[in-house]
Amino acid sequence: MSRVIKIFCVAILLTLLPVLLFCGPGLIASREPQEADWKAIKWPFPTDAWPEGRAFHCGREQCGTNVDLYIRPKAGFCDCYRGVTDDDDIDRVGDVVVLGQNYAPSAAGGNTTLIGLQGRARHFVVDAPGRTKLYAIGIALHRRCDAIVATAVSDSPIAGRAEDNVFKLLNSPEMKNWIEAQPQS
Amino acid sequence: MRLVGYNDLQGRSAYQPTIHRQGDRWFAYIGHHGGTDATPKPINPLNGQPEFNGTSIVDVTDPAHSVYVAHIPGQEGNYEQGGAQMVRVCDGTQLPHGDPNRVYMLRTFGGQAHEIWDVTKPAEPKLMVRLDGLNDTHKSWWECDTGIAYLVSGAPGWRTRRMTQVYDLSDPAHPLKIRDFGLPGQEPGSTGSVPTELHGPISTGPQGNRVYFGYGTNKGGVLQIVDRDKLLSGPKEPTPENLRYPVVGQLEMLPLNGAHTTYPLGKMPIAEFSREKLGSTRDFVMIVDEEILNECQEPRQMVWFADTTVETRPMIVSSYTASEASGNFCERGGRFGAHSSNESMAPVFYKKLAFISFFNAGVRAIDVRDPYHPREVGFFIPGITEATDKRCVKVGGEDRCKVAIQTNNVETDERGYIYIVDRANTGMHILELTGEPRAIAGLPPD
Repeated sequence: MSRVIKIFCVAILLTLLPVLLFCGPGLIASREPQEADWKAIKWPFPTDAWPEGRAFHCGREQCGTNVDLYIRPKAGFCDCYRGVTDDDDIDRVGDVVVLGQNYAPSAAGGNTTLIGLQGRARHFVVDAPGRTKLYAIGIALHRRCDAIVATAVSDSPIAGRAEDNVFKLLNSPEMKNWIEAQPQS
Repeated sequence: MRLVGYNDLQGRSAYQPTIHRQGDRWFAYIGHHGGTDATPKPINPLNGQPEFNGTSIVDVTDPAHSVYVAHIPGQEGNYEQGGAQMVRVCDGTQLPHGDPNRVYMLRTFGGQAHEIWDVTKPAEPKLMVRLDGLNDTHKSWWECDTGIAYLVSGAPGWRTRRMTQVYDLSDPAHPLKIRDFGLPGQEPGSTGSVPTELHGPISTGPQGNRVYFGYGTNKGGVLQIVDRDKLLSGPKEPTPENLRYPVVGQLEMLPLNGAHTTYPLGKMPIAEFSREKLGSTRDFVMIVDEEILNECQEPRQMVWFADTTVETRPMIVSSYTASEASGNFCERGGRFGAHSSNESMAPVFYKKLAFISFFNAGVRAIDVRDPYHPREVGFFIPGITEATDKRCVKVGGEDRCKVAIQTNNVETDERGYIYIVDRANTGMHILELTGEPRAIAGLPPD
């Protein structure tokens, strides 16, 4: 009996192997984050001290939740010596404040390297009376004395596929080219 | 304005000049940024050694024939990451507990320390004290008559790149820490967004009892007016309440501009208001922003005059900028815009003329006798030399570079000479006034 089962399993495997070989990578890739999931949108914030940056939206189908992502340079705003090395640096140079004054970290941050720039990322919760709670990731990178800051925001915690998609876009050649073209101090 | 003399400063990128009389001689102490990618350690011709940029000491007794007497190396690192940008000098005869036979120099060491040097013999400077373990030390102020120093630093635990550490340096050999100071929200343990970082303070000493702090360089400028007595003797624990305690007034500027230099002009009679029963004499602070991006890639950084007569409600009443069209400065390369003013309050120019370094537009002489109507009365733009470094912007992802003068800082002396130094390695030009501005200063006709 056991021999029959073994033969049956081998037969199934042999039947499926070509399918896995030809389609497997595609199936896996289709679950990976894609830059194409993001759609450019208008910079939504009023004028402040810094120049407008770029804004993107990723829908529920692509990211599992609606996520907006904002990125812009802050020339001359970074510590030339240390760069972005701790969570206070994210508070100091980051852009979560554009979402509202009342924000708090929900976890300790972590180091990150994107498009060859070192920095740090941290999750926040942004609260305001009469408004849905927002979940954000504040990201700050440094290039000599300049900061590059990005903020992802959603009405749900940004994790898994959504979070991967955020970092995938920030790490893309398109973002690298755009950041390199921005004024430097 | 007329060129009197020149010194190449060994081709080093220059920041703060301080002019000091020692006996019958005059010396210019010039702080430097770090070196360049091409030349991280320029040669010091005095000893033939390559040295990281630090502090130049130049005998300017005869400004037409200045003599470079010493270079004190600074911290390793190029551009803003090295050097020794800031320098102040006090006589031991004036400091309450100084050695009357000595002259002391306070400088930054890159971003990591403040140092005190004995420069009694300017050609043989000797390191006395180093206050180490800091970040981003910068544009400090030292009251020579009391020894109180407002040291601009990034201190461990503070949430801002730069804040103030107040020290008693009346005995320069034995620094005494008085307190830390900054804007509420910058102190250790605070949360949320962090207010604009400090750039530099200027104190009027015990007589004026005010310290004017400038926050922001080219963004989010804040002028903070502080009661000096309360700052020095008030509660020192850095809590939000204690940080607010000595603050008399605060002006939040347009977020597009910073407050690099906050130079108090003090009380000034306004001729137009002379028949008014109230308010004919006004109190002013001149605020100078710093342009930090090349070729006009940010909002214009310029000069603002704040009427601080009612200190709790300071208000900007006028402004000055060099005219871009007058020299097509946005296309000349490098930075165009204001950076800093002279900080000497010697009678020769005080409340009459102010001098503003304007990068590729050179230095600008402003008639400030009526701060409601500041007026340019002279300028000088040095020529570039072989040492002048290039300045680049990104065009289509590629560097496009131009060589341009970058008049970075300016200072004056009691004799009426104006010293301008260049950020792009062109050296120091010593100027004097001619014509109308000379008459305004009350200097003998040229």
